[in-house]
Amino acid sequence: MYHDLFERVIGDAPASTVDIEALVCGQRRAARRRIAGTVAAVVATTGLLTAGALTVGRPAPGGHTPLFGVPVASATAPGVSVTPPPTPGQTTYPPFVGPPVTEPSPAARQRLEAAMRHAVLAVAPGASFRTGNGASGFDMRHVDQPIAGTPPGNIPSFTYSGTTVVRVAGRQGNLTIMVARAGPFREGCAGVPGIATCEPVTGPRGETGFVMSQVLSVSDRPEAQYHLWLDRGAVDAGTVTVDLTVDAPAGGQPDPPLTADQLVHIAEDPALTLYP
Amino acid sequence: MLRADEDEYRQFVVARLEPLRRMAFLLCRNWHTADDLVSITFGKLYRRWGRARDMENLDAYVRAILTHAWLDERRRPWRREDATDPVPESVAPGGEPPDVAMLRRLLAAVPPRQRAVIVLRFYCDLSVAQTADILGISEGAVKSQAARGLEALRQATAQPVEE
Repeated sequence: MYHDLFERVIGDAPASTVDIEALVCGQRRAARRRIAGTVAAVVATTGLLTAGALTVGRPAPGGHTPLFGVPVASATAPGVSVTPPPTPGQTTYPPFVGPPVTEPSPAARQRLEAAMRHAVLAVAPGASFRTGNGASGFDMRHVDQPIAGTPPGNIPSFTYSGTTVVRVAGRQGNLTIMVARAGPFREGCAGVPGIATCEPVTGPRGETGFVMSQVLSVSDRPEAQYHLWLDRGAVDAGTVTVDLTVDAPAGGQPDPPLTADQLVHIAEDPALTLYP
Repeated sequence: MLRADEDEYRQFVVARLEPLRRMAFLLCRNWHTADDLVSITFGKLYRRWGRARDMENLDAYVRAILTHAWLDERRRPWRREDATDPVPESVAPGGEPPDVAMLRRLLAAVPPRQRAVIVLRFYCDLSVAQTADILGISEGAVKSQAARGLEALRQATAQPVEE
């Protein structure tokens, strides 16, 4: 009703000084700095972690080990942004070592999409998925061309990822499963900012990895975002990563739809491989 | 962020750039600050794009980021002093129309949060509930803070107004 009057108050706007391309480039750099800093801290502490690693027991699927059972001691207060860690100077990273994938990407994509859904339903039979992403509920992306010099944290060659919103018993979270070649997967979590819990994992076929919860960022509103990722390293020259993001309600605690043990079982699913 | 997601993000922000600049100008009444606020808003949106892109009302979410960016900026010491020119109490003959001058004066006179209420309610045409949700205040607070703006708008347009 008063829109026109407000428009007359605004008048003619001068040319914008907002440079969207520069903004996108700046955000890319910031993201790389955050990831590189995180990985550098992990690499630097791998030796200590390896010495002190312990094996986590593997209860049956459907177990109810609390995902965020440990209090979040380092959670950032609402209204405060997490400061990105400094960019490392001379840090080097191991290369991807898995062999190239020979399976045609359309077939691999279809196979892994079904495998992801099956892996989740195997541990949470009542799970439902976001609609609108096709029959599986997963939004699939893939990179099937070799990319020279892929840095850690970026999408490496031969990577298939599926993202969905998973709901279990009224609780929901954003779930991403990524299947890639073996490479510079994270080997620990000491030194990663915002870590709340961290547990090493050893699978039945010699898989190793860590399951952790992490505070990634806090917005300017009273909300907290919790993040959990699980790496399974060196299984048939591949790596499976599972991310589960759960938003906490204002003033509340996150209520994840899947437990840490269930995420471990998802990552250990033999069908989630690039080399069937 | 994947390339496809980035393209999607870029298309969104290009389409929303000018409307958000105009909204930001109403809040801060300074084009330089308005551009800063829009840049801050787009930066935050980039970092949250993975979750935000599927939101039912993404525009309301972006407006909320912008509004809070401005309120946060106002709390900074170097922003506390209003950088805009004072608004004349009377309008010189041949100047801007009385209704425009009245609204401009209103926006200059009210405190930041009340100005945000006026902009969100009467410029963005958001409901009381939506405005309350964005600002994190009660609907009653929105109604009371919008009352003065409503009266001024009624006088400016000389039209019957519905709450």
